[in-house]
Amino acid sequence: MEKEVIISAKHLKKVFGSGESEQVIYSDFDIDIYKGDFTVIMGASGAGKSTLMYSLSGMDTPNAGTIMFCGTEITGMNSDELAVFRRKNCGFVFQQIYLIDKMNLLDNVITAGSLTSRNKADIVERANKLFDMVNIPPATRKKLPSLISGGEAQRAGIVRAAINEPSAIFADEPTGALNSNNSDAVLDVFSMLNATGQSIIMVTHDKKSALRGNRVVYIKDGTIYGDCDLGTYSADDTKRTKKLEDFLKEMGW
Amino acid sequence: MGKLILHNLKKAKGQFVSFGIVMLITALILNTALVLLFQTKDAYDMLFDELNTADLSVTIPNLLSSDELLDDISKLDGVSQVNTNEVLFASAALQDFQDSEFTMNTYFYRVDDERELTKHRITEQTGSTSDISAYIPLYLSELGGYKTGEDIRYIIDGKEYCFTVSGIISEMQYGNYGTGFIGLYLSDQAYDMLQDDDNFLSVTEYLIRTEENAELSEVQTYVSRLLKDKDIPTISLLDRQTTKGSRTMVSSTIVLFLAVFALLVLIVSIFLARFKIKNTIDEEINEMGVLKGIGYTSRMLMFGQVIPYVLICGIGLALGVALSYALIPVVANVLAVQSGFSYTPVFDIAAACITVITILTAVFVFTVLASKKIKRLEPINAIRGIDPLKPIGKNHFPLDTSAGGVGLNLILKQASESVGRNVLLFAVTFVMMILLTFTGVLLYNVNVRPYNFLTTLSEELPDIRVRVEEEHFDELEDILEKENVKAVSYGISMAEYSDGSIPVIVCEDFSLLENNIVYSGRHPIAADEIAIGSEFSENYEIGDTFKLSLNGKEYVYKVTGYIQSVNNNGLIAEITDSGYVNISDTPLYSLNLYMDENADIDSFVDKLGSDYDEYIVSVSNAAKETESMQMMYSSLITIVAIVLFIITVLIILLILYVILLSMITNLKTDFGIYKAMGFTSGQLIIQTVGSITPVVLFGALLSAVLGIAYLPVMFDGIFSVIGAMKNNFEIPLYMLLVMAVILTVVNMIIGVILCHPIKRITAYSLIKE
Repeated sequence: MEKEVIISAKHLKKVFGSGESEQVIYSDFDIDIYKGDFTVIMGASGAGKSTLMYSLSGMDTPNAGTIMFCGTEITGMNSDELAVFRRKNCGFVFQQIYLIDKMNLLDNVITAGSLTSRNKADIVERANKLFDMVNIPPATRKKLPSLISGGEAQRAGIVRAAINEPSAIFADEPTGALNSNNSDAVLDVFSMLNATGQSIIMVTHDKKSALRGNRVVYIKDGTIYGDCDLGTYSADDTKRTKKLEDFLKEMGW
Repeated sequence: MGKLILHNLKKAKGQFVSFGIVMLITALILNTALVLLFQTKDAYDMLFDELNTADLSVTIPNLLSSDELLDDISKLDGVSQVNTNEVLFASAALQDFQDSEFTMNTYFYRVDDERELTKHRITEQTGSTSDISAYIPLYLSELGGYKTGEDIRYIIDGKEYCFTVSGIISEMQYGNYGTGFIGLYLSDQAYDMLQDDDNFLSVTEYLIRTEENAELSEVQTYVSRLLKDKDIPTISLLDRQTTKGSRTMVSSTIVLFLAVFALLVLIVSIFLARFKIKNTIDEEINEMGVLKGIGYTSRMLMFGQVIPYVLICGIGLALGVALSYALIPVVANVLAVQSGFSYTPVFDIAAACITVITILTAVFVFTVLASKKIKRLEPINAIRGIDPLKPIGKNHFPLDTSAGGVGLNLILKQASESVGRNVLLFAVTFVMMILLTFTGVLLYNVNVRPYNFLTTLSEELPDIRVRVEEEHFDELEDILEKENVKAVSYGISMAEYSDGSIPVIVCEDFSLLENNIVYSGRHPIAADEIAIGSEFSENYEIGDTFKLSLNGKEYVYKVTGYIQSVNNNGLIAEITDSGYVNISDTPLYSLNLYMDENADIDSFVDKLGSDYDEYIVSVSNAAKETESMQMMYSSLITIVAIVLFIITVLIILLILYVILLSMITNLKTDFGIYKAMGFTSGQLIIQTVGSITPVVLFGALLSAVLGIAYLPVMFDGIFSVIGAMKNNFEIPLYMLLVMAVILTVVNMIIGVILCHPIKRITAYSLIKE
């Protein structure tokens, strides 16, 4: 069965600076992201992985090219139109987590949820289901971000990203600031969400994180240098691990 | 250290510029107030000395003047020199004064008289003059609107006297009407023409110079006692202090008001600097940790915060003081209209020093106190962003359980985040509301309810004043009754008391009057009762006796209360018609007429003049005088109110700029997160402005409600300075509440404009940083 494309980028160009200091991140870049996929973007530092991801999500604007997101061209939108588009279609998980520190976890999630629904009870119910799913107990949900562990905070960040049932969740190095145990817990949440059909696009440097994806795109010199189909994630699938290691070796990782 | 200061200055240059402008405004106002305070009275004294003005001036009927009296006065203790002048006196109805009629006690002098004491100086003169000409004081020129080359007309007992204005004169005795007397300086021809006219009383003016060490009040008492012993009535007895007080009265009031205004702005500025420093410490706690870690001392970091404020404050103050010299001459010219003398203000080192040192010290002390928190920061905790003094935050207004929508609760959450910000906003709003409500109430009572203002400054405001022929008095009263016009026997006569002459209001029944000027006790009812002016309240208690005399006939009255009077500096009294008979054989035969609200007063004045000409000595349209008085004050007060409003809005703008920019800088990350979630710039601007609105609204409403209590105290205080002990101002609560809402809306509009930088914050900036 042919996969449905949810994001299709054509001839993308992104440049930082101008004149002599101009730095081309990517040029004439094409990529399709498929619905239900857990797409992992990898590459060396400075390869433009995050820049690409934020361009695809409408958080940053490319200098040229078009991006069709769920059938809507987002490249011509102004910042407010993009904000409204992101409410329904994009969820974000950041390496630095970025929860609003004066709000407890539940409020952080409700704040995002309120953008697509006026029914507070419904938002709270969905939020609590997601908190249950990521294993954050009710008492912790009422705590401020400064009073919980990094892993709990990042899981709350994922709940916030998922609350509006977006077309895609974008995660930028979500385990970058976490210890091993917390990383696993966070990655489990992503896998669980993906298993429910949630499209996820994740930028990572971490091989263990990359294994959670079913597709790994390797960026080098502003182009897609390699694109590997890993197949569905399974915790004890050594074949997938081998395949990823070979792929990354081939990419010069 | 220098680099650190420069770095801190550069980092928030916009906010420092705002702070500097607020300081500039504070210095501008305070220095203006101080220069006027120091120089107006000095300029008065200087001009007083320059014109060799007498310390005491007594006028008595010419017939009672004699060389013997001159000799006796010369021999009094403390008297060093006495000169006499022959003068004409009349209570003259000045025509076309601000397009109305203004009856003034006027002394008519010869302009060419050679004088040793109380000289005058011609400050403006026309090229060609008529023979029948007059030099007028600045007061009449500026306030009355009489120009050189034009005519000035008087009506006395129905007869018109017209003089061509030859020039403007400066003198320090009768140069304005604050003392209840004014001087007019005539050409010889004009003076000669009046000399034999029965409408003018020939008087002799005794100009007395006191010895350097003599006590002025004592000499005044000796003179009064001497005249009393000789049974000589005085027309006026004025000393230099009373005259000075009345001529610098408005100046003193405005100086007081400007000083209070500057103080309020200074308080707000200190709150602002304190808030900004505390906010900076919160924002830059990590940076401060790093600096402490590499060896910067707490003192260095504290001064790194304090010095930019002191520096900017110093620059703002210097500019404010310099700019005030562009404002001071303008204000001095406005004040010259009332004081009747003009001067050129000069640079005042004392005023500048007080302005700069006071404000700079206040800013230094409060910024040092605000920055003391830096001392308690441990480097490693600060690097980690841990502030030991900051309590762990609370999740105010939980979104799942709080009533109301998420949007509203997000606004309330943001509103409750910073106590310091809320205190500053509350203080600014409260203070600004004081200024706004003060000007608003002033405008309301001058323009919408002018009667309140005018009755505060005047004794009685009838529609028409009539002096009636003695034989027709009763007859005219009957006619007026048939015409349905309320007529009350009311007049003012000069009478003597122990220390000189005072105007005495005489009325058949004070309860029939419309303006109750008694501020303590009650009006006289019986023939032996008297109410006295505020100036006497220190020496005479209610129940004491008070002696009046007129033409040698004296009577001792019992004091029933105190009355206010702006025009006579509290030197006034009131007695009943029957009480007047005790000191005068002849009643006053004058009436105040009160018409219905929609009655045609002009037509009725004309009717009185044509139909009852033989009954009437003179008739004046008092309503028109009232109207012109109102116009005169309303234009001045409207200008003052508009200027105050503009300054208030400017201060709000500058302070909100600092607060909102600090908020935006503080919440930059949060705004990035909100934008990543899908919040638009518009939503965040509304949320931010909304978060400051509850405090602003609360501060404004509280100030408005408390205004009912504090505004009367403020107005009482200001009016008492000029002798109006009982102000009739209405302070409608609804108006104060409307002003509170207006202030809140203005805050919101300014807030929306100033929140523009939120548009430039992108979700992507989160990652880039």
